[in-house]
Amino acid sequence: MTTYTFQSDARQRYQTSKRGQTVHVDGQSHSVRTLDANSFMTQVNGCLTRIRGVADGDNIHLHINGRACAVLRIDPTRASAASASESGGSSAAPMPGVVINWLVQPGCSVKAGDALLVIESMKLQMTIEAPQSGKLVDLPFAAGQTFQRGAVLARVVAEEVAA
Amino acid sequence: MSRIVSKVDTSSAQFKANFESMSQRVQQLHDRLHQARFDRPQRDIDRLQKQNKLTVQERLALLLDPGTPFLELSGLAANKSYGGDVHGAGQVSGIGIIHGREVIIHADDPSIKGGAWYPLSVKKIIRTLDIAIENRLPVIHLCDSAGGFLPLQSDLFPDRYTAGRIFRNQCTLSKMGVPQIAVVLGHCTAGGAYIPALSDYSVIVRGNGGVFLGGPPLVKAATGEVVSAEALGGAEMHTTVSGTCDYAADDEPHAMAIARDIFAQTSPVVKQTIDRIEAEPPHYDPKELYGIIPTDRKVGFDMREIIARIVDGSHFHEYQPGYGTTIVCGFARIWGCKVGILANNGVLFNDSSLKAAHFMRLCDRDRTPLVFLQNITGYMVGREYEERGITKDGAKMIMTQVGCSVPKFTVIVGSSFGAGNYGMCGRAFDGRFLWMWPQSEIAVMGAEQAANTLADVKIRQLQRHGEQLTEAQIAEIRQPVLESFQAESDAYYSTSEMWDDGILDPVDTRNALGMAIVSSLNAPFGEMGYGVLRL
Repeated sequence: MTTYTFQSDARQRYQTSKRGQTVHVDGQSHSVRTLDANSFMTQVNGCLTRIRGVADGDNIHLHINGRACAVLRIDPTRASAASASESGGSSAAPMPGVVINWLVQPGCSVKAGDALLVIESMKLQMTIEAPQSGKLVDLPFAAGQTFQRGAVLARVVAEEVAA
Repeated sequence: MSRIVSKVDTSSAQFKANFESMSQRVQQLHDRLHQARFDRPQRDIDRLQKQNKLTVQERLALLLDPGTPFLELSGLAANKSYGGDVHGAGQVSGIGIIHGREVIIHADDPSIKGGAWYPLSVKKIIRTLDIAIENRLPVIHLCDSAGGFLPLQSDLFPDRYTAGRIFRNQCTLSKMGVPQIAVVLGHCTAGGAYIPALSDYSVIVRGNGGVFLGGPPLVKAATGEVVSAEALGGAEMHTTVSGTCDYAADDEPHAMAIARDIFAQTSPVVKQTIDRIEAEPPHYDPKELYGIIPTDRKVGFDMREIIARIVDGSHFHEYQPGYGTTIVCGFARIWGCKVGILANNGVLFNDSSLKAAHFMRLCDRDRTPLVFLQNITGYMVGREYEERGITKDGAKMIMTQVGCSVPKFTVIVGSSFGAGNYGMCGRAFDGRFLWMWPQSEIAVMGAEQAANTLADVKIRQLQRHGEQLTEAQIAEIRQPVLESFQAESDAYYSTSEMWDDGILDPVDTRNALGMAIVSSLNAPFGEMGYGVLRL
């Protein structure tokens, strides 16, 4: 059995699942007959209707009674992907390492996600990004200096929005 | 499962620079493969023609189904040994299709040193037959070898994994019920004579084919008997008098036609059933892989971008996307086959090791084959991590990985250093196949780290005797270590020694994996069971 969540406009979500020749939409069951990979027959408001559907990634294009529409399939796992959980405008070291170089000088304005400095640890280099938009006030470690895990590598202060 | 959203900017300068650099490396790979397959001194080609013999490539074209793929394995074996001109270790090995079924080929290359077996040739034949055993792939032997390369006999004859193993593997295959067909196209002398004798079926070409324990010169030396090769062990004698061979062929095309017809008489295997649907090409162009791999090995890249250019429709269901983020785990399909993918997005920490172990057990329980994409510089080191039990958690990952009974496949797409190689199913861990990308590196540790470690040991040794080293002396210790580590970490060195099954053009990764996964389904999955995890 496969279950999908669809969204045809911003407010409505539909939960559908297919078991054998029956499709359940939000708890209601409808019988379907598969004609080929892309088309099937079902009852819509009491009328036997042929529906064609073609998937393009997460978009599914449907063709019903001469009308075409697109519905978006929602990936239920995407929302649980890692989200940046920085705090207080500082970027902390994910692991011990050494600073390779600064990409931005203190005092500059930066946007959230801008690369601030390059560090190296365990034979791998990685860039440390700005936790938020604002002014870069401090890069506490110079190139060549080592740091421990959790050390603050950069501080960004949100700039006051002009009143 | 939904499509991976790529964040790669294909118009950026960085992408273009990476693309340019990888294109050059890939061109170099194809040049070297072409050289290994086709570049031969004219006198060797003339000699084959005079003998009415075909090249290995021509033989394969006659043997395999027209228009079907041939997945060559270890095509650059021995490229750094024996002066570099024993191309492919004098052997062609690979998976091809006959009558719609996968077979594995072992072919001696008579255009290289008369098809003589060097130590690495023997290693390649054993690996070919190991693949046949592990995946229950029928074997076609195309025999045309001068015999063992005598000056190196001590490296190819006596040990457990030297020449005798070839014949041991043939017997093992037969006991397992895996068909073997030998086509005798040249002389099979001494040990080599056992290849047709231990095969289920054998075809021998009139005139060129010969099978004897001792060739005419040895017979003369041993007993004084003077006899021609044809009378001693030719096609006529063996198919009408001794019964050592089954079918006599008039020439090579005739022999290949007979071999194909024999294979049609063997019973097809029933493949293992796994979750498999219609295949779909990746949504993102695999060629973009060239632009994603940084020119500097030390620079990291998001493995999801690699996965998106290998799997069906670029669809990926990520497992624990927010935990242990330095390893990416999830489900996808390759050639329609459901697989579990583990890919490194940084160093392995405690949480990433535990996540990997848990994910592998899920796949094993559901009979889902595993694909490892290695870009691993190791497990995290340092006091804090040892206190958290990084060694213990790494051990859980390794123990679980070895316990898995589903087929495992590994592609080294970047680094493969230290214990990370173990956890991510390195060569020693019985994956069904292992490939490298052209720019990848493999070693027990990085060259810099090795040089520093050895210099450090030397400095402390001398300090105990009250001596001090100058900067120049330290550099003198470091430099040779650095150079030898760099040379031996190279993918071409690895493939020369057959630590892998070949170097892949990144765009071919999907098809190599697809063919390997489908081939692996010939063999039943093993019994499930795990060792003790240190919890």
